[in-house]
Amino acid sequence: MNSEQARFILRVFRPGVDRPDAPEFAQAFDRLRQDPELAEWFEREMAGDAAIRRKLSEAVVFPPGLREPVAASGKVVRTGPRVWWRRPTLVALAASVVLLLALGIQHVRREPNRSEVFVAFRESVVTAGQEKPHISFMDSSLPRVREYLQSQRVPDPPALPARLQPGMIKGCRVLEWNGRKVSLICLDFGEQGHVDLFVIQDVAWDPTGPRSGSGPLMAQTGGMNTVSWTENGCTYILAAKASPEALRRLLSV
Amino acid sequence: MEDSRYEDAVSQLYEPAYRFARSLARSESDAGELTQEAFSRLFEKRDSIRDESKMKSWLFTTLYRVFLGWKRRENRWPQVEIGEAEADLPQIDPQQVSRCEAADVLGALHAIEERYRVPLALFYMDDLSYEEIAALLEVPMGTVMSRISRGKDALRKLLAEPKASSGPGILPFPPASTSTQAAHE
Repeated sequence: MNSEQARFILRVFRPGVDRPDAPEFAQAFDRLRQDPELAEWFEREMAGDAAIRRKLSEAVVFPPGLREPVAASGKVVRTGPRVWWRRPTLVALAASVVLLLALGIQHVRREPNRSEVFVAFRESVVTAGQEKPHISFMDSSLPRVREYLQSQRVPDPPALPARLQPGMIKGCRVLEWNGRKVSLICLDFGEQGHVDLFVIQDVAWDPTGPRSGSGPLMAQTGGMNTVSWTENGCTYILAAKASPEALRRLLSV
Repeated sequence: MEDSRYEDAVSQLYEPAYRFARSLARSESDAGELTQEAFSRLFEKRDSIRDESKMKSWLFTTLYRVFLGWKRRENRWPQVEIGEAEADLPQIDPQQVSRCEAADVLGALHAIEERYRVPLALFYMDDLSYEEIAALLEVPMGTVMSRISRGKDALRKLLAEPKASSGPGILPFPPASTSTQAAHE
């Protein structure tokens, strides 16, 4: 494979999504390692793609109130070809029914005196995360941060969310909550300062916590906006003094 | 799929689905309708989707089919033709992109011919693997890559000359000149 052919293939590579050792990319990356000029070109190409990706993400504004009609789509028996949702009154009615149902279900699920374990956990770690020293292990290398966390016998994230690039890492710290260790990984967040990623393993949350496979939970805690989710046996909390939208963008793919 | 799983699917997928719909449709209201229709079909077919890991690609494929159906019936989204070829375009400058308005970048994407725009939008969304994009478009993976590559050329051309995206016209497009490109297309 020559450099031109490698260039053609490398320009469709997506960092964090595609694997350099995948059959369709492996030869091109072999060539990249032998060709400094190609490597320099590749770096610029990826930076250009990242800039476009950010702009496209910013350009799409989710219309308020779209989710409810979408959720209601499955609750309404259709009597004709795609007509009901073109009528605002029916959309509003369907959305109201779903909203009432959701509120009703939530009311039933939440017992009055049940401790809101996850809410307490979130508030506790986000507050503790703001205490000084903010991080105890300063290093911008993800492998070295992981190595440090493993040496402390605390959870290191199986994978960083796609938008959290390893290059953003500033360091980490270990917190403790109810006898359990929690990882705090601090990442650079440009003009908005820094963003903290908290990771804890294997906790069965009450219904107020994020369920595995469900969408992220947004909340304001300790003067910071947070977004939480559970996957791969870990619960993650991302916290920053940034807008909820900016946090959501960090997670969006 | 139980109703609760449908609710979960809405929570997880409506934003990426809307984002994809917005890359296809030129208006927010059309994108909203596309998203609703795709989810409506997901609900109807929920019992036939056994493997929930395939749900996202199923939804995206359905959304795209709905879009194609509407386009055939109503011609809502007229095509912009591809015109003369241009080679050796400069690389896109991240600083230049950062100075662009986000809406202009989306507008430039919309100005690209659909068969290049759709894979390019999916490329920038990072939601689907190349295998899934190929299945969605019903073309070989090499063709997907070729179309993305050519779509990137068109996009950079439009971003370099912002006025070109302000209205319909003939968009310069580079040729599939290398042997690799020719093999893929």
